[in-house]
Amino acid sequence: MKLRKQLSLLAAVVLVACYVIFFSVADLNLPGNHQGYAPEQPISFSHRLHSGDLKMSCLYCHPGVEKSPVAGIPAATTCMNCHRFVTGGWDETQIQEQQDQLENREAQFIISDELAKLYQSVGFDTDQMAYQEEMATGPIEWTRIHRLPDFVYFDHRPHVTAGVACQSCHGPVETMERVAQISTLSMGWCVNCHRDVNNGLVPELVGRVASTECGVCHY
Amino acid sequence: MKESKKHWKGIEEREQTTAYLETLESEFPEPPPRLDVEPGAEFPEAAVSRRSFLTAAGFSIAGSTLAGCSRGPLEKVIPLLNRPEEMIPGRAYWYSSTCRGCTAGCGIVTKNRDGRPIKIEGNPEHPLSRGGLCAVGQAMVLSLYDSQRLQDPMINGQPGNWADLDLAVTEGLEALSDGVFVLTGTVSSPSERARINQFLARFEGSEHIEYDPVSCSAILDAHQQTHGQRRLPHYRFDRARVIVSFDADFLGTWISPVEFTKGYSSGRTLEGESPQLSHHLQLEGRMSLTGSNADQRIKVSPDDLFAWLAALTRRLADRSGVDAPLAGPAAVEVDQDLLDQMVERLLDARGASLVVSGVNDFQNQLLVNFINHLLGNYGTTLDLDQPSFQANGNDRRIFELLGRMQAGEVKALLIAGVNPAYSLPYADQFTQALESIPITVAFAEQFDETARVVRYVCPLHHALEAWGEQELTSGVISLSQPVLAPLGRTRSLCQCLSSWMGNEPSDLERLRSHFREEVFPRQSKIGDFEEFWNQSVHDGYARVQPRSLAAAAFQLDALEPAAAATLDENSYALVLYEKISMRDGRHAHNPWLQELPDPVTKVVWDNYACIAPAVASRLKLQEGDRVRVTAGNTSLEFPVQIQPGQHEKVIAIALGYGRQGTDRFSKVGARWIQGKATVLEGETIGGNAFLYTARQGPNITFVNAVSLEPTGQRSPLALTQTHHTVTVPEKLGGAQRHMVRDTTLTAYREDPASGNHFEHEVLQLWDQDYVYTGHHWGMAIDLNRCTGCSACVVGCQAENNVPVVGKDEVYRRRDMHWIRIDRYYSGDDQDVETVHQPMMCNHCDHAPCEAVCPVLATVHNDEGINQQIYNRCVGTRYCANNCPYKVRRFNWFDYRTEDVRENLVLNPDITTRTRGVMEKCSLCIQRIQEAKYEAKREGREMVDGDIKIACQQSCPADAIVFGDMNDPESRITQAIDNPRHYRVLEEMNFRPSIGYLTKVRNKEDAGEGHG
Repeated sequence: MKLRKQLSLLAAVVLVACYVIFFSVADLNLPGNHQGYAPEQPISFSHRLHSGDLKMSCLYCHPGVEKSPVAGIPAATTCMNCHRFVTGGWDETQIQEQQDQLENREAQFIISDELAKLYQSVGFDTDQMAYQEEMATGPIEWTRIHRLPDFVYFDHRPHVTAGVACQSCHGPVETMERVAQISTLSMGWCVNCHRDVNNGLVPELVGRVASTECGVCHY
Repeated sequence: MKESKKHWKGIEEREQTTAYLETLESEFPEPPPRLDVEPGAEFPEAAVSRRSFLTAAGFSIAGSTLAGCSRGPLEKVIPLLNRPEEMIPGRAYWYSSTCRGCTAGCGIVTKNRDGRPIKIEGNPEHPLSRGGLCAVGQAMVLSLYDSQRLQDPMINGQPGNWADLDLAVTEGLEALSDGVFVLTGTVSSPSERARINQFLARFEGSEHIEYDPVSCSAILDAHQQTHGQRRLPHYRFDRARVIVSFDADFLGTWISPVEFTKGYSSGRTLEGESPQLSHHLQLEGRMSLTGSNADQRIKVSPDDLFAWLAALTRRLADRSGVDAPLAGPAAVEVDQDLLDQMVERLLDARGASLVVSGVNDFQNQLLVNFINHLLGNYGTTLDLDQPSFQANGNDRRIFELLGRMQAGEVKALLIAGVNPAYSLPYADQFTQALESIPITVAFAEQFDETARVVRYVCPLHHALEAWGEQELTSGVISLSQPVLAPLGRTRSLCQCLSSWMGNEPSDLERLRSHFREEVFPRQSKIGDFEEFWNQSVHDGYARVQPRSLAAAAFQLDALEPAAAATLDENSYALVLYEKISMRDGRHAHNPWLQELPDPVTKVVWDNYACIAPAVASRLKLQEGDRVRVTAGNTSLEFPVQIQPGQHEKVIAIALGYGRQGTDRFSKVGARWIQGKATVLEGETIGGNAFLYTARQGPNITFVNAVSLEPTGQRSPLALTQTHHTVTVPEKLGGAQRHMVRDTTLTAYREDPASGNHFEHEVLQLWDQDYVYTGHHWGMAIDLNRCTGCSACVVGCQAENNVPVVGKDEVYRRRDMHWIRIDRYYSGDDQDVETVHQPMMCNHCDHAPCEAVCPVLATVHNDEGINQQIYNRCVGTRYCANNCPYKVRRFNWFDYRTEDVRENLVLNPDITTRTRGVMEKCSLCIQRIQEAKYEAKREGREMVDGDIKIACQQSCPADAIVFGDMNDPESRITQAIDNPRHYRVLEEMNFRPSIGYLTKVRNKEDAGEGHG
């Protein structure tokens, strides 16, 4: 009898502990809120390097942002504009170059593991430094981070034309090694910003009108 | 004010029958769907047990909790590998092409989103269709995604591949030196015709035969006789001030209905610089769409049609002082007063009148030619020097072919794009003769009746997958370009013929070389071929020098009229007609078209025998009672539909039904315990009325003498005509609601606002009106232009992801179309006048629906749009109950498509609604948003015409105007200022944003008149 009592007490403690551990580890959000979502991508592309250190414009890779509802993910050939020539990281290249000089041998090519995936997808033969179309394995399947429900229609065009900075919604992407969803992307979050604009609380958008009608997003 | 005219939608409404009044009592005429089990009855096996319900409930609660904890669904985003510079994902791109839904060849532009076409619209610059597009054209995009389209070749009924088929056919053909025949529909493409002739040149005595299932061969034959050339004139309805039509449904299905509607409506404009209203007189036995729009309609049974024509010929010849080309005295007397009026009108408009006949009878067409010649219409309203090539079918030659097949002279028969085993008179003889032919090949998109009985089946491209060109009228060349890569392993006819001839230029190369050699030299505007080609592909058409094709002088010998068959008391004249949706049956696999209410009868998913109300009361038939219609050996059963305004001796049945394979729709729409399948497995939708067609002289006749016999069975029709009706029952005061308003030309000339004076007290519910400071969107529909063709219904369906619900759901008044065309009659059963009124959400400023929504799912925005927010809606349906226009549609189910691939046609800019959500016309808010964003992007203000909403765009009659009512210069403001403008139920002070312009009939008398 005593044993049974002890066992049930133990079970209860274990259960509570499980709950506590689960909830603290899981870092739960409300249903549908994926704030903080930062999935691993097929290529560990660094926004910190490209738009932070190298100061590339967001529009170079995401040109749809001005012309289309969606910003778009760059085609592999967009990457190839540079990576036909840049095949490895700066540090690795430097080390390799020093090593080459030290050993007094011909300069060696460095192909980074991540870029190799890109070359594979477009069929770029690094031995020849030329395209072999039949070798192409097809587009890279990125994992989507920012996603709105099917009954919401967000359009990048009016936001970008009005002068809303990308970072206002996407956060400091230029500092992110791996991109995470910074905002909640909830309706309250959208509407609050629209109200702030209408109340003149957003300095760069003073005088602009941001509609809060339902039909602006829901149709 | 005199007693106003009464309009009614159906006989039951006019008679105020008990059954009809009962349906008015409740919001929905039947209780909402639920599991209905009789007390004591066995619970249906398929139903859910208590245990499994609890299990499922437990799992779903646990599941949804877990789903809430998850880190978001893993969703891939896959970019293009190599993005063309001009291609931005998420943006719509438009390509111009040519519609191949019928042989008219209207210009289209297709909207492509991320590589797939999702919408077809009319090409506003196309010289013939000028931006209009009919319901069939709109629906062609759905048939592209039909997964039952043939994907692979078939050999002896078994799936095969091209290599085997090519080998078998070429080997077979090599052994032949003669007896090869190609049977096609109308070929209006010179390059395709040349390719067929090149292919046939290797064989002696081989022939290319063109055959139109619903033929107007007699018109061409008659011109051969009278003008020495077998040609179809190019009819110019835009130039005609007086139109007399003998059973020609030129606004619905005849030759080139969109082009004719454009022309017709341009001749019926009361505003603008040159106001004019043509006079349109229709003589017909059934009630056609064209007849329902006529200023004057004379009921004539098909037997007497020739007598009318002969009388008109005699009288006109008499008045013009020439001999009538008719021997013998008149057999049948016609109404002399009506004839006199007709003759006066025609003679007043010499050279600007047009007499057309839709009867496929040689003598009939000869007289029509004589009349048009006498009136000087050749060269003005009928162009024979620059003829039309939109219908070339030759009935005589198809019967010759049948004879040769039976005589064993045919050794190889290639059938392309037509379905003679279904549509030919004596199709059984044709099928039988086919068996003994060694090589039979069918080129088809569907596994149709003909494909089932031939040895080799070559799957054809859909029109949106193929290159092509059509010379529609002399000098007007319309171009087709593929807008996506073929979805199956299909080919075009020319590709097959080329590969069997041993040379394989692609369709594009062939077309380009044709353009370089034949088309480019016929113009002088552009000097560089590449530039000319690119321009033509971009525009979708090219205008070039018409070939000089002068016709011979008119000549006609006197006719000996064939004795008209006389009908005894128990027989009727059967009139076979095309429906605007099914046409000759080639669209039977398209669910949008199957569910499109017929513009006149308002029935969906069926064909039926239309009978006059007098016949119905004599035989004690009710709507939906089945009758047996017998002509010779052909005897089929149809439900009856009682059609006001139809001749007592006429039974009308639509062609195009009874197609093999239409039982695929047994799975369409909602599936629930009380639901009935749209069609049972193994059966077909409707019956094949082509079986009643016959040979008469050289032509196929679509009229037959039949007997009618009630069977005592019933199969209720899915009839939408009195759904969503706004009648007030007598016991609630029976107030007249002047939904439609019409007047006559005489009255209009005295007072442009005639027919529009209704005194009423206006009640104001709110203290003050909301002031619209920015845009205020509004729409006006000109009832004088609207012909009821229903193109807007399908256009809206394609744009707004409106589901197909199936026959049973429509029967239960759960049709989902956001725009419907209400058809109102006035007058008695004998003579009715018709008004077609498109009706959709009126976006009332004082919207009754908004006041009753408990969750604010339907609210007004600051631009006057009544918004419906699907994700807020909880489905109380209070709004639908309170809507005075009955335009709200409730999703009783998740309406699944019968074919999953059809989901590719869905517009990604619109939410696809789920079960339990109310929906309705949104004034194409996605198009308004798109236009705003584009204007913003370009840094400019919006201008009138930036937004064209889906129904407005498709309208071949330009009846719909949409725009900003706050813009004083806009077309909508002009329409509102028009004295004909009124708003439906304006006495209720709902302040709708949709307005209508009264219909004006070109009649002398201000009263009820003949009608």
